[in-house]
Amino acid sequence: MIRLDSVTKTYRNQVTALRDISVEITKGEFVFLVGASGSGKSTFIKLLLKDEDPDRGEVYVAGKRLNGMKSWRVPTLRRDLGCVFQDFKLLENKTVTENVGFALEVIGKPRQMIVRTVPEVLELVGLRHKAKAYPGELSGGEQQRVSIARAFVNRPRILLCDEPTGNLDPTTSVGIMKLLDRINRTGTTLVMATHDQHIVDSMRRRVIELDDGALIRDQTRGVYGYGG
Amino acid sequence: MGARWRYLANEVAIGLRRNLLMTLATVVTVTVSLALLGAGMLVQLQVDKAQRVLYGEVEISIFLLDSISADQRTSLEQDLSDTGLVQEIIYVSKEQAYRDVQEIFAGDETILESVTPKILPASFRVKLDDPQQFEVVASQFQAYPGVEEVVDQREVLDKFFRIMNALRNGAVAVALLQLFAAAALISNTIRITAFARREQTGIMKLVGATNWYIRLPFILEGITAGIAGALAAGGLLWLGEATLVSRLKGEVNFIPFITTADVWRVIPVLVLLGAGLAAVAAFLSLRRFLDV
Repeated sequence: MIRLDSVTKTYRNQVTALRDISVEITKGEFVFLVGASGSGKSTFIKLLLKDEDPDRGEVYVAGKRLNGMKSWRVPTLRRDLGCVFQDFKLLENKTVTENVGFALEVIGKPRQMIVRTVPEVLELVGLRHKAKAYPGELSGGEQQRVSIARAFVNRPRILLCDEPTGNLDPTTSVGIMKLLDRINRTGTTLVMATHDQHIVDSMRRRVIELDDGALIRDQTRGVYGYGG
Repeated sequence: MGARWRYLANEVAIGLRRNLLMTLATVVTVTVSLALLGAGMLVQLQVDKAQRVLYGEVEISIFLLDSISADQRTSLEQDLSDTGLVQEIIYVSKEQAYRDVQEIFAGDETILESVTPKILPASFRVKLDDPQQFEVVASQFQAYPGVEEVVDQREVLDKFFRIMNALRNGAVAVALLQLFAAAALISNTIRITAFARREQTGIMKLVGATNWYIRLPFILEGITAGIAGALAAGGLLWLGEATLVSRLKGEVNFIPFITTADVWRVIPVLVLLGAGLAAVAAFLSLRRFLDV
């Protein structure tokens, strides 16, 4: 589902974000991407989104080779990927329903399909009763659920999460992780960059650890602890 | 499809409202530039029309001395037609010239009072098969007994047409500068809109909206301003034709003037230009400010 072959990425300011990374993630896996700030986690995610291009090495996502992919093909790639971020990225002037529907609307899905699908996915994330609320009226945890609903509404094959619990308290985070776990169990491949030691330790999933852009650990059913 | 059109119309309306002042500035600039360009085009049409008629009517005037004898006049006329270059010769007597003046300056008493048949020369009005042959005829008859002067009336007209052409060129030059300013304004408006919508645009890119879907509202916004400006420019031209040219028509009746139909011919060109310019300006600035 995702494969990186000897990928190196150096930014223009000479900061090397990823050094010779090779990794393969198969369909349906749940993978934690851990490491200190600046270790290259976000760059890893951006490469999968084709938001950045590697300097060397090959990236494959959802059966597509990203190197040399024409820019007009990128939207098709992204329809296979859902994205969740630390800062939710919700539109303040749209309701919960409109925010989730927006993701379908802008890729040209028919109105009836949107009207049918959005309540379903709001049900899944447990926010059916907040359908008409605006993001400003919701708690952080609820906003992140809206964001997850938006990422998942198009049933992507891969869900990429960049610090999804970074702005949330531990109790709320547990709820979000339960939700992500449920989504993973539907067969969606899930890659989650995180700092949250407690979450990684309690879930016991595959852990990929980056340090200064290098892959220093790849462990199935791993924990957060460095080198552990 | 309904959702998509509603979305588009909505986005364009929001964008235009958000930068109301900027949009107005853009529309006004487009209006001024296209009105000038349209005026240039109409002047060109006017010149074409006048040229066709005037060049066809007036060719050469051979003014005669008062002292010319009847024999000299007859042989002059004979020699003129013997050159084989002449299509038509009309003799204009002093009396006929006086009547012509009275007709042309009808109502202008000061001129009419100062003119008498005595001071007006008699002349031959000569129409050539080929107007370019003027020099040949002129050199041959300039020194002819009884001839005062051979005048190429086209030269007089050329002066008039040169002025018209200068007017046209000036209008077009200013119009081009204005069009450049309009493009810059459109580009700037789009930068502001792109900044205001950066969150929304970011999300659209993430969820896989196509580049054209993201660009379209911006480009349509520009095109709307462009077309609005073009239509306003068309309105100004129509107004100009209805007032200025219509009044001239009443005063000057020896040349044909442009009509409302000509204005209607120019307007679609302006609309196409306005829309096209706006679309190109929008497209180019999107690449810079939105990276799509």
